[in-house]
Amino acid sequence: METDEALYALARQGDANAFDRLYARYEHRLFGFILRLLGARAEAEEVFHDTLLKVLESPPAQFEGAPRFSAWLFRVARNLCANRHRGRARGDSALLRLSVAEPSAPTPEDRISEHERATALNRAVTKLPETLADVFHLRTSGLSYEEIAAVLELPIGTVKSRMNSLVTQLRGAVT
Amino acid sequence: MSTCPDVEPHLFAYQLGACEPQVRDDVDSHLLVCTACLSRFLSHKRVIEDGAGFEARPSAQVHHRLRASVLAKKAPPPRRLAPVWVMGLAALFLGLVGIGVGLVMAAADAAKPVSTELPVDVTGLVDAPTIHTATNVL
Repeated sequence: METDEALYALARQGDANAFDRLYARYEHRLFGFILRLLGARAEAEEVFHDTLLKVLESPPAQFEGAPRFSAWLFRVARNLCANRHRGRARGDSALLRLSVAEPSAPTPEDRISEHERATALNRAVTKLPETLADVFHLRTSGLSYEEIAAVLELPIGTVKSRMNSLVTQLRGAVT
Repeated sequence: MSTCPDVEPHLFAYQLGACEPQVRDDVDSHLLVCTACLSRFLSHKRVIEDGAGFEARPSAQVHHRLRASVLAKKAPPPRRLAPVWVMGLAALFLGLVGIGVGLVMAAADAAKPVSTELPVDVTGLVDAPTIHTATNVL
């Protein structure tokens, strides 16, 4: 399987098939990440588009110090989201506006329980301090510790420490 | 063998891939045999994945627009220029041909005999007697 970096290099040269494959790899993960940061779908689509366009038009293969394409891509997306967020109150968090997905548990009791858990978890995530929320969003988008460290420009030890705090807070919220 | 109270506090870390290897192995083993913890784990997983927007995707127009910009990058293939050495040889050849042509023309000019005759006034020949040839005699 071709690496992201190889597909990216081909896409930059106008290879639409390579772009399609790269797009398919990140369509859900990156868009989900942006959507959770911004909340509004139309705005998320704009930022998703701008992120990929910016990446495609950037100087080739620099990755701005990021070790891998994925880390660089999420960093660009996060920065664009931050630009959009600037001026907004943090309390107006995206997750508050994201509807909790309807649970698909087989019994009504399970459904209620899961819905309650989902609500509690979402509430807990919205209350996370920004440092932990960043880690949560990036981790649930499938990034490794190393990639998260690259996106946030932090030492990997700091990321691990924040992950421990994150787990503790989330666990406390749903138990 | 870990028990439910041992495993449950680690389910979130397990879900987020934040467990130490030993704990992860314990949770793995436990989830294989404990339906209740497995159910709880799957519930966490579903909540996190739903919250992560894994089912969300941008509209097809976004893909089309980006794809068009990628295709626009595809420049027409550059015209292939001959290698430098071929171009050098061609220039040398043309130069030699030019010099050769010049020399030939110069030689031809040099070989042409120079006329020493004086200009002849032919006006007086207009009324000269007809020269009778064999044809007009007959």
